[in-house]
Amino acid sequence: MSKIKEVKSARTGDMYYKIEHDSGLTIYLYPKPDYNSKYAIFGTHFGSVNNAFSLDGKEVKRVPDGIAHYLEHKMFECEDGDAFVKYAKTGANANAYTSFNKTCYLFSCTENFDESFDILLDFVQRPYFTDETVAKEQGIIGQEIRMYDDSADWVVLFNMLKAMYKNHPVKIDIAGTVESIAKITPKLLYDCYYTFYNLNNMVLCVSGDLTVEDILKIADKKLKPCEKHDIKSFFEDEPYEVCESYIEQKFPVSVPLFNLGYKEKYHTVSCEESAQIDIIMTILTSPSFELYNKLDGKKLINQSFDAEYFDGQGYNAVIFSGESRSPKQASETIKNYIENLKENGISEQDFEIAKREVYGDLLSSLNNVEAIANAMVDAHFENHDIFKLIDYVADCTAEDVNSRLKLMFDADNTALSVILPDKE
Amino acid sequence: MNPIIQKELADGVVFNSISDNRFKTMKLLVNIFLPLLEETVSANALLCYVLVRCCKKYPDMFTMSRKLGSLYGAEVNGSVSKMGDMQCMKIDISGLSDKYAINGEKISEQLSKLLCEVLFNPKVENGKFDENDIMQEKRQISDMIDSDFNDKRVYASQRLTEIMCADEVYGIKWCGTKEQIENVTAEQLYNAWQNMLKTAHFEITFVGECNPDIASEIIKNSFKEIKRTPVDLSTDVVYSVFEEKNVEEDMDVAQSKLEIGFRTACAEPEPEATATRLMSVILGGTASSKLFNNVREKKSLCYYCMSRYYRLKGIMVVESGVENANIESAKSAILAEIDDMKKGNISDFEINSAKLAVVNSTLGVADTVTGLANWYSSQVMDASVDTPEEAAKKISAVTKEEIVNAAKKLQLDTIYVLKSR
Repeated sequence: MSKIKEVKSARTGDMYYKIEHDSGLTIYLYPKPDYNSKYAIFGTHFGSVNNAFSLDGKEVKRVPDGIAHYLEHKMFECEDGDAFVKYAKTGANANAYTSFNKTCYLFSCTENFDESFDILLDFVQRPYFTDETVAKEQGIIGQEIRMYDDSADWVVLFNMLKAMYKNHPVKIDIAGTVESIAKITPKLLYDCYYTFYNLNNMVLCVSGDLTVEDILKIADKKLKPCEKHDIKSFFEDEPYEVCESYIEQKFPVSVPLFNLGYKEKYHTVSCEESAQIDIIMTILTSPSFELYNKLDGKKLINQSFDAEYFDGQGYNAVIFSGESRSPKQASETIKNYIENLKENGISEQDFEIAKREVYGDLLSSLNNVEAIANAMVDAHFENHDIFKLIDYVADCTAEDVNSRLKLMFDADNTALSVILPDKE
Repeated sequence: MNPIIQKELADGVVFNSISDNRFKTMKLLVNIFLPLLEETVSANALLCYVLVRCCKKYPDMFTMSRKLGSLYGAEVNGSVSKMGDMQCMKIDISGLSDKYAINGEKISEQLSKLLCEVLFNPKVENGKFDENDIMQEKRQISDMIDSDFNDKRVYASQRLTEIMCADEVYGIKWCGTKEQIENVTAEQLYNAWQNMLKTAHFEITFVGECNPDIASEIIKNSFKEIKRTPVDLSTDVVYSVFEEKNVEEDMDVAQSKLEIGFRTACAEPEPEATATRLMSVILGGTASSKLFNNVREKKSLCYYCMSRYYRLKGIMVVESGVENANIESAKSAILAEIDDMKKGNISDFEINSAKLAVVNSTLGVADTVTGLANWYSSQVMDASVDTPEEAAKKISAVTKEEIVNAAKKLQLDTIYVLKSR
């Protein structure tokens, strides 16, 4: 029998079920009574960075860049027809995406949940690749890559990652290149599939007006039990230092863009640390605090200014991004401000406001079935918990945050990527 | 969800409230409609952003933002868009429902009052807005215009509208041009504010578990002093195309963009608008649409190829990103799909899947605070105001004949190509 655990949150008044299914899959159900919308997301811990791996200690396989994303496209094609066509009969809005660390298949619907859920569990567990179907995708993905080649936001990010990382595959475009995807074969796709699409390496998150019985009656029927295997991903050693501290490119844009990355030593981030980091990032990006106002007052940023904590298998960094007429000056201002903040500490008052902003933000995200289930996928792969995160934020102290801050932001280990207009 | 309660607080000022205890947050949304006009478009757009920046009580961005931050990260937002030939300024405030406040604050009451400060008590002195606030917000809008250019998909779609509607007010950008924004004076901005209070149509919507009366009372009292002559909400629809336009522009981009604009000869509040919308979804609105299946999947010509219907203006746009070598084949493939629809070659499967997709997204609207708030205010120019359920029923009732008729009315107006060099 599957193990079912209820997880409750006193602060939000909400709860979810965590089901350890017999098949090896972990399933989360977050009930949302009286919602029309239902959302399900089925994810595997396989993203663009997992390009070298071994199964049960056997030989290490190196696969072409972009294969996780290619596999995502090809999963929709089944022996008995296209999954999108099947969804078209239920009305669900279906999609999929591949990121650095995971591949997810999802749908949202208001009606015919059972049928759509059945389709999702079915096609993700039934790979079907032939030479012909694999070849057909080259043109479509080639155009997807071209589209991103024109995206200044995308290019400024990957330039920064290339400046920051010497070896880590996070610097490679998620979709790979036109050349790398040309090397993809059905055999390679099956190798990746049977390594990473093992239910023990996957997670299924559902939210909506649903019961455990609603989920299990279909899951019990569709999920094919998987043996647990030892999956290892390999990454070349990555030096602590960035490769280049500055990288620049001309592009057809009218406002210059920048990404400023602080590289950190790789470590896994606990849920409690994540709460502290959220508060720090708020202080560095929200208009309620000094840095934003300083940058805005000097006309160094506009509303596009933002920052994220960027971490995954083998990498951690903080990335500031935005449009700026003077990217170098913006970057200097950010760096100087952070140096001072590390020295003087975050004030009790700033801490309190930032904490409330983060708390309000996390609670608001529980309005939405999609946001909830997406957050649960991330939390599962990171060994976090969405309710614990809220509690850690509410219980966090200024002291905790100041000690965390001291461990972050090495001013000597940054990379600045700038995109300048190709003509003035 | 409970039914919507609607009352008129003043001439042309409508207050809607929807009490709903499913959400963790509340929202108070004010939609302000004014005619889209060359002379006023920039001042109105700038006004929207200056109003949400700060107010007399919280006189700069920092103090305003900290006040909102201390109310658990509440937010005041402004945005400007076109709805048909009307310019729509949206100003909203949202924040946590009272019961989730760690220290028991009455958040919604404070937020309701704050939004009224923003609208009725801005930082104005001697008939002028603050020069520094104006300068900062001019800069933000100017950057927004520039960043539209950074995104070539957005840029190409804007160019199509400009070219296609060059002789209509709809061809005006939501904020006018950069030069027009730059030239707005502090006095003009004050006049725009006064004009807005006196003549705009206000559609206000409150969603959440909190008491809407505080907001509605203050708004009602504030309008008592103002003598109002509200504008009519109307849009000119072009029913026939005199001359097809073909425009091609070069740029250093990796992928060319193909944009095709059609006149649908049907717009809200005409009842056939529902069938026209469905026709557009069948053509290119979903991953089971004709364009997705035939132009992307079978011919591998592109990654995206989709259509969109602007129901208030009677325009349908098809857009795609393609290689230079494939521009012509993509163009003919798209036009062939449309001819096919005109001939009645639409399967029951295509019709049913489009209906299901639209019904699904329509019913889903009721599950987000923003979706609900926008749902009602987006129908001010429609023949009737429907609930999501009523709208879903209308969609399901459309017949194949109505869809084919909608397709038959399509007239090619403009083809715009942004070509890579």
